[in-house]
Amino acid sequence: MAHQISLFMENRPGKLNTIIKAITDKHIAIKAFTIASADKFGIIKMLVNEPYKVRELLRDSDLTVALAEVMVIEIDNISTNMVSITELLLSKGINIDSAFGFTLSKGGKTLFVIETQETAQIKSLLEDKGVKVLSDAQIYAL
Amino acid sequence: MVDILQFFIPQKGAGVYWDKDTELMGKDELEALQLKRLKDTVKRASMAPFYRDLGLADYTIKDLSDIHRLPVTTKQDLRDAYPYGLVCSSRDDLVRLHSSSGTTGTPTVVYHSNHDIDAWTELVTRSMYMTGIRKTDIFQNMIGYGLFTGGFGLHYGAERLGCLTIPTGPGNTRRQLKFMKEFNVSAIHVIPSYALHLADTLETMGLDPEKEFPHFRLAIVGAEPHSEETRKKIELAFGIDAFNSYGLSEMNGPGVAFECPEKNGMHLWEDSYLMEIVDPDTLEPVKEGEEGELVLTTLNRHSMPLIRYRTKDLTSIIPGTCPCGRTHRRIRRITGRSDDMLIIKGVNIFPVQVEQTLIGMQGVGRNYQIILESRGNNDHMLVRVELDPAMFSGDIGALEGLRAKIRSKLRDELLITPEVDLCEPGSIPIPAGKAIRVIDKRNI
Repeated sequence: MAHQISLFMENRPGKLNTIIKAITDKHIAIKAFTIASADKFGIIKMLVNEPYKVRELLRDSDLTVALAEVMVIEIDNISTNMVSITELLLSKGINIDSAFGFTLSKGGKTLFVIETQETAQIKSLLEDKGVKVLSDAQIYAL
Repeated sequence: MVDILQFFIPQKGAGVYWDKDTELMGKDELEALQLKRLKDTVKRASMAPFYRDLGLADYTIKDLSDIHRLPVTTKQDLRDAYPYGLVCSSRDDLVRLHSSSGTTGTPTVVYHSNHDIDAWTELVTRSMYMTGIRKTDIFQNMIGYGLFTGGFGLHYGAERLGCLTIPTGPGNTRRQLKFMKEFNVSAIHVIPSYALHLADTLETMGLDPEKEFPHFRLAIVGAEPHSEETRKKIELAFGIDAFNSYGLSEMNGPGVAFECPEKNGMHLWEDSYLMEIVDPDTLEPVKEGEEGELVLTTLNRHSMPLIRYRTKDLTSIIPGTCPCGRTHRRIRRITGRSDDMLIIKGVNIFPVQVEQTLIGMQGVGRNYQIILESRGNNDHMLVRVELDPAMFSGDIGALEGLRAKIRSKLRDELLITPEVDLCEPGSIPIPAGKAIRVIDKRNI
């Protein structure tokens, strides 16, 4: 299973810069990036091509890191296709912990990153419906 | 039927003195009274298990200087003697207790008999009368009632004086202001920061505090150390006189020392308390006028006398006599503490209470820090808590939950609600030697 990085961070100027620099200095590619903020602290979620290496890198800098299992699906049209996916998950009573979507600039395809405890189940459900679920290698090679 | 006894009870409250004989008592007479009461106190205290174990009965008191040979009593002793180890009277004689707030540590409890409540009330009445409060005043008591001594202490004093007494207690600013206006309140008891908050509130409502309350003329401020500047601010905002007061629950509560109209130091009632100012390290007396820790012995408490209680409050005696004529010596404003106790919004808090609350909580790391600030005229308490990295799952909801839980546990322990920040592990500096847990940025 593929993983993304979750990072606990206090909201302070310069903090983000330090983290990004630590990762990119090692020539690790950041594929996707979100921040969920709660007042004075936040959680950064990052899709990177070498999550285990990044975890060690950040831990060495005394940062609080966790890995979360993710899956990435590829859809053509976010507004029409998303509905069928969310309806499908709803009918099976599956909950999503966290998710974000983005559109690749060249291919025009939309990628959707889902964090859930039930990756395997969702994967088979979606594949049955003909939704493209990216393999780990495909994710890390994005 | 006429109660003939009334002719033998000395009338209190003539002219500017409530108890002229005591307040103006000459040095020799006052010291003779102190010696008599000290002997009686030591004899009584020796019957309490704590002092019996210390062998207090073996000390003979011939003159007042013998006090220096007696053992001191600390807050920790009160905890160790919990619940009844310092009580020397029969349990049946006790009519009230007051206690510190803590839920994690052992509380410190002080017990009173009817005599003790009466003697305490008398001191408070004397103090209030000294500031100029009379039976014609309408008195609003904005200090906490309950286990805290501040509310009850002044309440009983005001009633004995004959004031119409309004026991609002603290908080609910709009109601305070409504009552002050509608009942023509002329005197209040308040913590200094809250007095300023009342003035600010009126100003934001577009009202002039001085014009809003034409009858308001006097405030007794206490329970919180404050500067001369703060007093002047309060006086100016409302166009009133503000008087500083001093007390601590171990010595009954308010009414230990109070300012007279001279507003230059607080007369400590020496008929009821034997005062020493000592070097906190050596416990040797300092020279008169020099700063040291205030050590007090109760001279008129029957059920739970305390011998040489270390208040940990730093002050000094103002040498010389006061123009008001009262012979009881004056102490200066409390300048600090010889321990780490904090007074936040009038509540006594020890950093260890925060520590004990955080220890063992899941998700909490090894370090914390307390930051105190003034926001407007209010104290603001922030507790920064390091996160335990092992507990981090990447779920922001879990972090919010942890923060809320820490906040509520601290509120239960401290009785005030601090703001809580979760911090990265290792982000709170650990200085070499004793960790600096508290950063106090307040303007006192």
